[in-house]
Amino acid sequence: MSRRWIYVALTAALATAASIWAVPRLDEPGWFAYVGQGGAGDGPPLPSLSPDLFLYPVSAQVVLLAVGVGLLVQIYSTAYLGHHPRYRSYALIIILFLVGMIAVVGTTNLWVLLVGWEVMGLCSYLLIGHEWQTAEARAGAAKAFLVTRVADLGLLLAILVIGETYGTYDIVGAQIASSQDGVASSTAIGLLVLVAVVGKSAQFPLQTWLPDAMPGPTPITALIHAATMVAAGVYLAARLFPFYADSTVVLTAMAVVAGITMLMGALFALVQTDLKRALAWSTVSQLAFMFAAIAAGDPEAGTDHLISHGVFKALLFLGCGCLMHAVGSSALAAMGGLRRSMPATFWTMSIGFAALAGVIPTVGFFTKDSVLHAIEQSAGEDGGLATGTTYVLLGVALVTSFVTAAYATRLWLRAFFGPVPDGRQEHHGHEAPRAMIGPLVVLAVATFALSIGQPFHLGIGVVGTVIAAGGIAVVVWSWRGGSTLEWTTRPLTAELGLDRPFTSWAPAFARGVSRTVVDLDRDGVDVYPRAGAGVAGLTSRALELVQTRNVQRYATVIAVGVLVLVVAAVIWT
Amino acid sequence: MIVTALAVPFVIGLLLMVGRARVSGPVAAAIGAAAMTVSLLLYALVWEGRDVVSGEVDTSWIEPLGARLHLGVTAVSWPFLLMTAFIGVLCCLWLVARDTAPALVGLVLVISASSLGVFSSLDLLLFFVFFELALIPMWFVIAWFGTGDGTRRAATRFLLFTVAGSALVLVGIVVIGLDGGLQVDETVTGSLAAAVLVCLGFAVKTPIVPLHTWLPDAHSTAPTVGSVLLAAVFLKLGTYGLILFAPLMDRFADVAPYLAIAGVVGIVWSGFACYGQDDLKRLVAYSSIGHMGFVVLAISTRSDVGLAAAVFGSVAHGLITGLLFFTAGSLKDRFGTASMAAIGRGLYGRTPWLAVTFVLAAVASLGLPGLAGFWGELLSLRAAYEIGDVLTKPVAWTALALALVGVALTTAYFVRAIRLVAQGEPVEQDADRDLDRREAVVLGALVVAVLVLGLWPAPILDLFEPFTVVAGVAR
Amino acid sequence: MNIPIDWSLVAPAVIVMVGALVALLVDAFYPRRTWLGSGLPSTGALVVAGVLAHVHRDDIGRLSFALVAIILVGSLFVVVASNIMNFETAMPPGEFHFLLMSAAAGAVLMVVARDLVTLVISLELLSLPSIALVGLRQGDKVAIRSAWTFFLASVVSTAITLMGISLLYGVTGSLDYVEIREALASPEVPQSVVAVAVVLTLVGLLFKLGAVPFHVWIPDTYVGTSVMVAGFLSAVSKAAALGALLILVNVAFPYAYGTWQPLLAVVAAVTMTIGNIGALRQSDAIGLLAWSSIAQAGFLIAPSVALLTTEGLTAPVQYLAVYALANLVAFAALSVVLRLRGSTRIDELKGMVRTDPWMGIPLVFAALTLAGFPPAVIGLVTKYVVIRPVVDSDHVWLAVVMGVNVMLGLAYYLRLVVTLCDQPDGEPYVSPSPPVSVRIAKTTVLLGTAGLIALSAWPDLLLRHLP
Repeated sequence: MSRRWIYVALTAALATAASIWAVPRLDEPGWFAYVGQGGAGDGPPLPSLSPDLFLYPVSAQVVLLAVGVGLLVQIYSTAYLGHHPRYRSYALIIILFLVGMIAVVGTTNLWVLLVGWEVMGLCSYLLIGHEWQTAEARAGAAKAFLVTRVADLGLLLAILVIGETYGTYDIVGAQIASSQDGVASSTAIGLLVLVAVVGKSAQFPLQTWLPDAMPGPTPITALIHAATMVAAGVYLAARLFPFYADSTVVLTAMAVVAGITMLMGALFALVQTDLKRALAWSTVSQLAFMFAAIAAGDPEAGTDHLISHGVFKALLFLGCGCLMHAVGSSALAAMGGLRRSMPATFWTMSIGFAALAGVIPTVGFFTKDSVLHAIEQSAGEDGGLATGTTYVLLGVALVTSFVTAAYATRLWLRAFFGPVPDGRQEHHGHEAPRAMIGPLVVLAVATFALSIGQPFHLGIGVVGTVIAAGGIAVVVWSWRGGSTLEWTTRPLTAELGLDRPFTSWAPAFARGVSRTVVDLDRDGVDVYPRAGAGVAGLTSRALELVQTRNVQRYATVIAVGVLVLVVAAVIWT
Repeated sequence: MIVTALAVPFVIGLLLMVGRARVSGPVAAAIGAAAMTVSLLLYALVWEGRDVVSGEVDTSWIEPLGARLHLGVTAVSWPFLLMTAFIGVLCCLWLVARDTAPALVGLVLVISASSLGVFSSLDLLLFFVFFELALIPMWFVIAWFGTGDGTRRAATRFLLFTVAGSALVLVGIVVIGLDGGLQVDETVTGSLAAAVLVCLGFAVKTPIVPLHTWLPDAHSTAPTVGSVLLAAVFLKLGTYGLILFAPLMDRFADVAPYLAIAGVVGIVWSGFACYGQDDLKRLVAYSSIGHMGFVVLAISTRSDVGLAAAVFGSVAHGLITGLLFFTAGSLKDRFGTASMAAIGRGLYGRTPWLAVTFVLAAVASLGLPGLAGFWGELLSLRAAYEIGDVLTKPVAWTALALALVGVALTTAYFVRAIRLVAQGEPVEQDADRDLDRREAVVLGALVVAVLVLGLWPAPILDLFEPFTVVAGVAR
Repeated sequence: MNIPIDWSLVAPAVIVMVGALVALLVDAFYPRRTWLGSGLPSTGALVVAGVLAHVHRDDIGRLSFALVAIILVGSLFVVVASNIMNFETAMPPGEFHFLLMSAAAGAVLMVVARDLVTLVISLELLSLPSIALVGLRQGDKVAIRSAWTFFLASVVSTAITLMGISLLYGVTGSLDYVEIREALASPEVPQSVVAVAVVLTLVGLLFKLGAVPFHVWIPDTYVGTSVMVAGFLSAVSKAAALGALLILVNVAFPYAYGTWQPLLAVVAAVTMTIGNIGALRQSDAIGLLAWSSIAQAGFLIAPSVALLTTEGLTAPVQYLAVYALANLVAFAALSVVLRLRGSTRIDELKGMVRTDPWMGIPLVFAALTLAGFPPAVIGLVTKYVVIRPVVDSDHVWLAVVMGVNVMLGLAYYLRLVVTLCDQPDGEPYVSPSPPVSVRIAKTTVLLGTAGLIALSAWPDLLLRHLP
């Protein structure tokens, strides 16, 4: 037992150090302001990993979110996974992950950022595959790693283009250069960044890896696949926003991606039969919300929602972990009626669902409100998104918040109120241990505490509240009407078949081509040496046949040779 | 100093071969490791800075041909030298085992020493002599100490391919020698024939698709140290040759586009080939072709960034592929085969440390940032993006795109390999044994090296920045 | 027709010839199958001839002197190493030394010849004793058959050469090299007749060199005869033919280069390729060396595309020196092997480096020298030397063919080398105590190897001092 707490202590030490560093930065003015100095040379230097750490207020918030959730998850895991034979590697990878996350958020050196970015991806891969003896975990891990890594090539190229454009690989230096010499290559940089964040944050069309990552341990899902790593995509998009803010192409593309993803994720979440998978789709949808804010030209709203979502989604996943701990499954059908047996989990998760649905006064409401406000505000502005796009986006966002409220209510009802399934005795659902409840309470408190000081936008706030209330009401009404809320709409439950390119087409293509290549390599490319050897061997045998010791034949060879040489010589001359 | 650094492993290697009956295997290996360590230290100490030729030795040799015994260490060759000596030390340490033949240690020393000679030569003919010197010992390593069927055939294929390539290089050297002399720091040629011949010759050695078919057989049948030396050191003779010769040839520009495209086609080709492999050693062998493709792409830009990329990529590949082959060798020692199907799943559970090392090596090889493999690939991509002096934009950017596809493929096949070997429901086998101390030392040293170069690439990159004249080779 | 005799030129050949006669006489009165019999005067004559040649080297000219030196050293090597045959009753020592020395005299004469008559006479002086040497072993049907083959092929080629010479005489009215050159310089000579004449004249020399398509006699002859005689043919006889070719073309035919340059280039390329390919499937070491010597002839001829430059003249001679020494070492070592083991099959040689390092290592080193592969640096350097003039005269294609042939050659030399180094199959038979004659032969092998190693360490030794 005590050995487990070593890792908690390590995480706590890391968290403390990060907090000491980050907290004083929280109150500094400015949002990614241009500070510091970096000279722009003739061309970018060779890359280096100099620890150019610098925190902005927003970065400080994200760092605190990461280490906070990380610490809570580490504590939670002592109970949740403490008896797992591979607990040690699990706990160490979490710490490594946090280091990577701090590197991404805290640096101004793009290469350090990239290293942190990929280290996070690797940790995600390893942790999804923590239960590597199961096929789903292996498949999910491989898929997550491949999809995100391919998308990361976008970031790699984006960094190269930034370096070539501004002559430095320092974000601050590049910002200074762009303020002096003007922004350039914004469309290229923006699109490449978009590719990277679409992969990392599981946006359309690369969204499918995130739901498949759910075989990972639930605390990991809470930390990496809800609160921090996937949100790092949003952070990055916001961080590099100045480099592509003037490109309508990029912003429109981002808006389209966000619009499609948010509605699709919400609809998929609505029909899931598995709580964890439903929450995963909800994460996808919420991340799209944040991108919508960035596309609307207000990255600050996006990062605010990032923080709030990080808190309440971590809460939800950890709560989900408690439920799984109790009933041994994440299927909604196995739950139901857990309200009485698990009161602490019930109350904390209820707060989480409320925040997800956007109920006042949880932080979820305020930040969602800010996002909607940001989209509305950008409608009339010059530059950025076209007005039409903005309105479509706003409409989609409102529909999404309706669906979001609906599925949040549905999940809440089915998990805690529904009938107790047949196979499970009432006493089986027991409350989780204190080490697991504690983090839930902390996060629940944070869900309210973070609301303090949040802005409130009257017009859109009222609209949003009404829509959310409508969503909740529809579900509750249908529940009261006796519905089991098991909605199985075929194309939606099959997730529109969007997974197929990744699970069957791409692997089949790779297998087919590789088989061809292997065959060609053996039978095709290898022909010339083998043919050469064959010709040499045959010639050699032919030469042996000439050596008959038959003098007449020799004389003939000589005579013919002379004749050929003479004729050739005469022709040449 | 350089002469001593070369002579020590040579002489000790020859003595071990002659006196193979008088020493036991482990003792021979320990002596060999000591000799290579001496060499490594001497090469480390000889360094005088990147603007001069360090430890230069220049005496007359064959005056009528203008060939001189001209040795020295430059900013380009120094990383190669240190990597080679380091790998040599590890190969000897690896052989500190009961069943080692002392002759094998001797051969390893001679091979390492000749490779060091190649990297130290500043005279083209001397370069070529060292280049050829290592080949026949390598034949013996593969044919005598290799495992599986057809070791002789694989060894002979390796040798004949390589010699065919190097014969072309020899003709190229003759052309260069006639045009500008044989001294690397003076000569230059405007001959197209030289460029074609030299590039074609080194393309066999590097290897570049479609001249690579000797490689998988040789690598997979060779003993562990043989595979390591082949991949870590021998392929570098090819890339180093290209790096060394590229600035000497004005008409390199005419060859460069073909070189670049062939390199990236190799990346994609080898990626697909790896995806279909069952034998781990063959997989690693094919992956080497891909990594060499990045280096070739970098060289073909003939730019400063490309030079840094090529050097870094070569050195990193040496370390990482050494690690992969040592790991594959450990598996082969245990299970008698490197077939992933035969090794079985779930190594994480069966031999955790070995599995973790393998995963780390695989992740390093697929170019994860923060590990050594990344910087070389990244700089290659950057060199292609910046196009350089000799390529055109369509060629360079097509190459860039193909290289990116290759990166994705590399990830795919290594993830597949990890899935097949490391993960999965463990099925215990009798041969399951985790790393012993000897293996742990060798693998640990390489892991540390990969991590250090990954997190702190400055020691090598600083040799090339700021981009000014680097004495000797890089002009 | 007045052919002046320059005694300073002819003296070495005459001494060698005298040595031949003395050897015959000594054998008649003192028939001993030991070193002290007819071998001693032969050795002495060769040494004296060498000294004389050295004294008159300025008259002979650097190039011819180098060739004479190679021929004399090669003959000396053969004479000493031939002691291995002392035990053979079928081999009459007096006749053997007489024929050998006569042939050597012919060889020396060939490279100092400056007119076509001397050339033909010396060619015959070389050929006829050589043929007799091949068939000398009494009662050996194979040897006699080989001699017969050799003889007929030789006759055909000599006839062709004579035809060429007569044509040349008809065109130019002279048999003197210098006069021929001057005659050919005039634009009035009929070009195609000159072309035919030049080709036909060269045929005899190419035949002696064993160039394709005049190579067919070589494998039969080498395999059929005594090993050291084969060594003599491959080293001394080729040296003489190459020397004569170089001097003839350089002095007499410079204006006909349009004819001989492409001819020699193609012949060289085909010769080295055919020779190497022929060697691929040989299972007998002698047969392998026979084909390899055909291939080497290609390398010897190739630089003559640049014959009109200094380098085109010196490069083949330097290559020749190394080739002759390596080949003689190999043949001598094989003669020892044949004596001790009764066979020169490659399988028989397995593991010789381990069981008999003093013969195995020289064989390996000789093979590597012929292949041009380090650690036999001199082999590599001389390959470089012969490629240089080829490239310099813009025959890059030929240089590439040479490069490819280096690879082809390695294919079979490698087989020889690795068989020698391999693990032996059981303990091979070795005669209990080798007689003195074997030891002498072994000594020559070791001396020759020492020479090759010394040259590998200091290639300058050869490259600076030969021509």
